[in-house]
Amino acid sequence: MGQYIVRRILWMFVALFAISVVTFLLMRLVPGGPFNTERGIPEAVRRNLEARYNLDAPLIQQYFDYMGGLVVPRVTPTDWRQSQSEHYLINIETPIFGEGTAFRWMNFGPSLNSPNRTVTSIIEDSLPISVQLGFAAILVALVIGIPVGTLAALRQNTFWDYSSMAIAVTGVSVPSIISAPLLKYIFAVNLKVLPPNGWGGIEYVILPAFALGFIESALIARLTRASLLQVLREDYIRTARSKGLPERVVIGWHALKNSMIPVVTVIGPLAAALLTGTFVVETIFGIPGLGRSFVASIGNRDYPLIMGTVMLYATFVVIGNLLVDLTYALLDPRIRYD
Amino acid sequence: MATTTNNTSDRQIIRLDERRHGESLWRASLKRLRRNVLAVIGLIVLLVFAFLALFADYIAPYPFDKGTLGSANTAPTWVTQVFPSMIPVGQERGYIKINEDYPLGADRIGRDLFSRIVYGARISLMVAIIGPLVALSIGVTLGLLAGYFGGWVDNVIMRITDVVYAFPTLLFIILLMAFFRPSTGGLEEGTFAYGISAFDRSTGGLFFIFVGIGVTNWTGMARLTRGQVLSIREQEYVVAAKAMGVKDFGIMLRHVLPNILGPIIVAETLAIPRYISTEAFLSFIGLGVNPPTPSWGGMISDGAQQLASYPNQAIFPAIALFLVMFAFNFLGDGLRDALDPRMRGNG
Repeated sequence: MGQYIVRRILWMFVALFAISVVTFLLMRLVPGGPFNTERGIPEAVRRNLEARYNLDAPLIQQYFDYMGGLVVPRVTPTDWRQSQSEHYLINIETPIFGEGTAFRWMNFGPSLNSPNRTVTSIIEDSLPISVQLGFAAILVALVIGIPVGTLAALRQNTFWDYSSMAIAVTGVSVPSIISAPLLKYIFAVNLKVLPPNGWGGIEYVILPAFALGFIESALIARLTRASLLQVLREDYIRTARSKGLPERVVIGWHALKNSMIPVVTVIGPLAAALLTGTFVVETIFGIPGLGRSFVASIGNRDYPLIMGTVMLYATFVVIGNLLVDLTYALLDPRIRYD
Repeated sequence: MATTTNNTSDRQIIRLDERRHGESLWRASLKRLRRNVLAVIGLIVLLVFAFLALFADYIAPYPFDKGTLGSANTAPTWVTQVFPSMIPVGQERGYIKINEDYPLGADRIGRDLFSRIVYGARISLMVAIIGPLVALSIGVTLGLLAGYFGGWVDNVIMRITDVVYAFPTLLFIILLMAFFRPSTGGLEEGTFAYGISAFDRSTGGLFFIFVGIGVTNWTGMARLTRGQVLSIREQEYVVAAKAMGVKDFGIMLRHVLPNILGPIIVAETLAIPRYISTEAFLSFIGLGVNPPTPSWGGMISDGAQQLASYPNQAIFPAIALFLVMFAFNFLGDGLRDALDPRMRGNG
């Protein structure tokens, strides 16, 4: 098991490395550049800009410069700056190395399109928003999905089962690209009970979280139902019943707890799916999250911003996948580690 | 889905004539599928959309790419009744110009929404047909090779699969699209990139959508196929075929592939809605089908910008998208129940 974990973690780094190389190459091979505007700028100005952002160096050197800034942690004086664009996502003061030093990690570089900002500052502003939205959506998915799935399983082959599963299949057909405009129209435009755009208090989270979480709640409902049905046939449920435990305890404690195992394991990929789903929802609800920055950065050829967001998302996804595989391995001893 | 109407009387009575002839897996499955009301409804919905897509030129009352400016943002009366926030001119705070010529209304440059939705069906259905074919041909081939030969072949293929699997799919497609999709402006004539980009434009931008879907979605299929092959490789009939001197590729194609086809078809049908929504998503963020070719995702994106004033422009294409995804989901569920009755009711 220990060996398996170590190998999976090493494999994760290989994957991230591959992703960084492919992204970097694809991004740089795309025709057009960050300074090719509609009207065009003088050749000399463009050259100067490219020199300023190190874009005239050989590609391989640019790659290593960028990745070096991103992944190599360092301990420096807090006010120590080599360039204007040096800005670390992680700054932890380290008094052991002397007054005014800090452990600094993850320098995402300058944003080519907003010259006064660094990619790190864009991430600092928008990542928390996307993460909050993602968590709210997962909450929606679980709070709807688990009770509906449980109801369907407990009343198997009844009206309740059929109708909740029909609703679930319908739900699976409603990605956020459909649910977002619908919810926005019904609740924000027509009933005017929730704000249509923006980000702020709790009332701004509700609609986007439902738009994102709806399709996932349908998946979770189906999974919960299938898993609970299987668990209800197990011997330990019969034992619990024959002990004379009240049905409430049998279902609520013994059955539900065990049926949650597969559900827990889908939360990883679900979180990754939510992250990508946020592109649409952030656009429709005008939320200043990371998804929008990413889509905009591709159109603008803002290389450091593309690279930074891809690496950030990729890390989330890869860690999510790893956690899922580890949970599987831990929960189901039949899964081989070799 | 557990809404099969399985007649109990059918099960109790042993029908001798049927027994004698035996029943092929496929015929039995078809029979079970026909009994599944929801799957049949799904199939009918899909046939309707396929009809719309095939005969779009005759069905659509207007061209999809030409609008009349005078009718921009107009809507017929019934639409203003369905969407209460759309108040027609003449009433208090009314702003919707009524124009009964367009059955669902017209978009912001005066193009008929209904015609665009009809033409949009072409894109979604093409993605639904070609997307799985691309993913299948890559995934099943690699999975067959890995599972059948094992050893280092298996190792190499599955490690590649692992890396591709770890890629965040949508991010990768977005990058691919950004790479391939820019107008040929930046490319030199005669180069490979120019040729491929020109080919893509001739398909309305669909080619790279298929490439994007294909290169990112085959991993699940490869894993599934490999697993199935592993479970079948040591069966007697495979060993027998080997002993009789059948060549490896003969065994793979004639003996292994037909026996693993069921789960593969089911998995692929259930993946189709994902492909459709991927295309819609790409068109939504402007990296999908080239305008003015209508795609439902692009129409939703255009409409969402003026959702408060003209909700019909986003909601109608969203409903069309929903119907097609819904139909494929029900059909996929029905197929799963039909091809593998043991799975019935599981999820």
